[in-house]
Amino acid sequence: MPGSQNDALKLELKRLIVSTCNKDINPEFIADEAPLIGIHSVLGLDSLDVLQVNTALLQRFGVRIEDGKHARRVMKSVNTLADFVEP
Amino acid sequence: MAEAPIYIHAAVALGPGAVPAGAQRQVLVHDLETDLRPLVRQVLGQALRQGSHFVELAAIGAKLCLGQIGKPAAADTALYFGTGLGQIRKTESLLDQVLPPGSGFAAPFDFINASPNMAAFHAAAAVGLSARNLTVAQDELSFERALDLAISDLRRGVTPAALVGGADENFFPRADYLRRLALHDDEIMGEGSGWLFLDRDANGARGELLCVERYGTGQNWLDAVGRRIAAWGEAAIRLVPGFRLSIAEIAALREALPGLLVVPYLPYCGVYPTAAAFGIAMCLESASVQPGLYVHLNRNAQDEAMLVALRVLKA
Amino acid sequence: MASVAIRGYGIVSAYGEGVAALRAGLAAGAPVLAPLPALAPPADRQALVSAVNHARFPLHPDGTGAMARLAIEEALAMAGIGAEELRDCALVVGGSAMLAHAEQASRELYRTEPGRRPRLEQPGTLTHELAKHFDLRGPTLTLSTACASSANAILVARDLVARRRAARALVVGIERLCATTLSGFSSLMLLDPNGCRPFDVNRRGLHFGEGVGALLIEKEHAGEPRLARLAGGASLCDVHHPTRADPDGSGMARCIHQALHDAVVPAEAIVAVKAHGTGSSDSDAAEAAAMRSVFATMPPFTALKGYFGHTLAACGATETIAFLAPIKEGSIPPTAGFETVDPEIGLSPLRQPLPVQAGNYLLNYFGFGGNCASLVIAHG
Repeated sequence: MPGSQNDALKLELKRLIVSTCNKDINPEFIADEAPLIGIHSVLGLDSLDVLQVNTALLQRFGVRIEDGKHARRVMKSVNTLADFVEP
Repeated sequence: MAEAPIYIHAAVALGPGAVPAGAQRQVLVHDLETDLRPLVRQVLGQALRQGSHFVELAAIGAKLCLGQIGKPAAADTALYFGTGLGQIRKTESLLDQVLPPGSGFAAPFDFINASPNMAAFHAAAAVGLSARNLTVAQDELSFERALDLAISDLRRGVTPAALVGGADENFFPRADYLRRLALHDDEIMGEGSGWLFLDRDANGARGELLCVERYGTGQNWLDAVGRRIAAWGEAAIRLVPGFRLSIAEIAALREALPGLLVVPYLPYCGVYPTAAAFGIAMCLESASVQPGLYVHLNRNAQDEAMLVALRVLKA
Repeated sequence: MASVAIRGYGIVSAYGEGVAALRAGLAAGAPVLAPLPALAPPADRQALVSAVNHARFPLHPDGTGAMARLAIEEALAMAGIGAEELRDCALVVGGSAMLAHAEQASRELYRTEPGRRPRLEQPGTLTHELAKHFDLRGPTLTLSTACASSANAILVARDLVARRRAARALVVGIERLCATTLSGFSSLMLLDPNGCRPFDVNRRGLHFGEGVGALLIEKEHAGEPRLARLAGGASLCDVHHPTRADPDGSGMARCIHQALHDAVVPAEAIVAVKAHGTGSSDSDAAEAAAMRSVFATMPPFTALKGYFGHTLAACGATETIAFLAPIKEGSIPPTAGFETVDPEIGLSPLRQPLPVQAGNYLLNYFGFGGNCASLVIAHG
């Protein structure tokens, strides 16, 4: 099952993003398809946040994003991120 | 050549418990672990999400200090910052992450914030300064050295104004903190952030910074300090003793200088390497401030002492 | 601002002990780059580093102290400064190697007493020990402004000397390798596994180096020999972002302009530039943009981090020395690691040694926390 169909995984990812980036937001309010990065997104993650999340993913799931471009592709939304973690 | 006078226009002493105003300040009875995030939002208008507790201490203090002068500081105002422990909490957590039994991966926020200069960066960003910005890490005398650099630049006219601060954070367990600073068990571990805004304009000044001087602490070192203080020839001089100055050393100065008043500040901020910044700022900021000459004196654990003299002016 | 003379310098780098070893290494052009398994963070990939001889200089305060003493002794010998003259000498140190020492102490303690933390030394400890060892009685200061630490130390030392706070000043830049820092840069995706390739189209970041550099600065006296003259400089804080320069290079450009102004040297009089050149994608692009905005015609420029790594807090001292030492022999070293121009930058750093001419050189240093420092050094 691709990660984007795994609700438990997606909730875990939302919680991970919120807690590692010290975001003041309820993780359950993040829509699965909502953009994560940039000032126009709900979370407004910047490039430093992306690296922070990446390190947490590496520790928690053992998956590694290779570079900034890859990170932006993978972290488009919770759905894309979940598919990356569980293809 | 007479040196150009340096004036103090704003002073902030932020101590443990996130109490920025002198009127509400209370004597500490135990160590405090303070969550500064509500105060950060109140003072800065937003969270320092990618910062640290230490960064918060510095940024709040800087912002409150510049807030007192009632107008934006000139963009070429320089910032000088002293810290003894730097980002001690982040440094410890970084070591925990990278070394066994940790995972080996450093969290970016922690890595960035392990750099002591990140506090001066966020302080500058909070108040819109982008000129010279120096962080001095020289143990117990870090703030005094930062102040010395500021005065030197101001007197030479290479900077029109200076925001000078000193901050340190406490850390737990308490035993580690006491051991790190070689303190006794009955001392309160402190933290805080003290800031002064300085320029060469006497207009509206709250105080004048007279000098920052360095002394060796060899035999009879207090004689030289006593002669220096006596040379001001004033009846009421207030000694503001730093945390490494012993009771015997304070007593010796009082004996040599009859009429010397002692202004203790450590009961309000606890013991930390840059407590001098808090102590000096406190002389200027309380509602019932007493005009006159104040002399802060501290020494390090090795062989140096530094004296800071200031004249607090009538409100 | 008054200019001061650089009368001597000394170094311990990945090329070995002393300026001669450094000069030979730079002339041979080969980077010093090797894995250091003892330092690999447990869960990460191998990273190549530029290390000093750890058998001789262990990752311990004593080892670092020995490096600093050697570098200082070499600088003093070059300047011909005796013990008597050292009394009136200030000491300004950039960096402290505190993290590396703490890490090593933690590793050792973990083997014997896991769960206990070592007592971390204070950042000023080494500064104090050096002042005591050489009986320096002038002002002492430890600056901690990330990768601009020892460049700022040079500027502060210049001020102390020019303002007669001391007859002379020693500047010491210190950096030691540690897994914590390696892991941090790895998490920030700022490590190039192939070694640093400044301004190259394929650059991926820095490689970590360690070293200690020392410089002796005195007031200029007409007719007295000197190696170079520090004509001026500037330092400032670019508050654009904690770790990234403004992409248009405006903060860096402002620092360079201030340095040129301080030195009373017009941009067109700069003979060549030592860029900071970390080899990271954003930082090199910003630096190139800064140089373009300052210089109507781009002077030749080089970057040195491909040779002996990014020595972080020490780079202000080590790279100033690594620029001055070959200049004394008549050439500016090309950019190790650089092969292909990045079309987005459109600038090529030096690929061949450049014969030296008399004139003013610009040296740039930038760090996290927005710290920028630029030096203008006159040669000949």
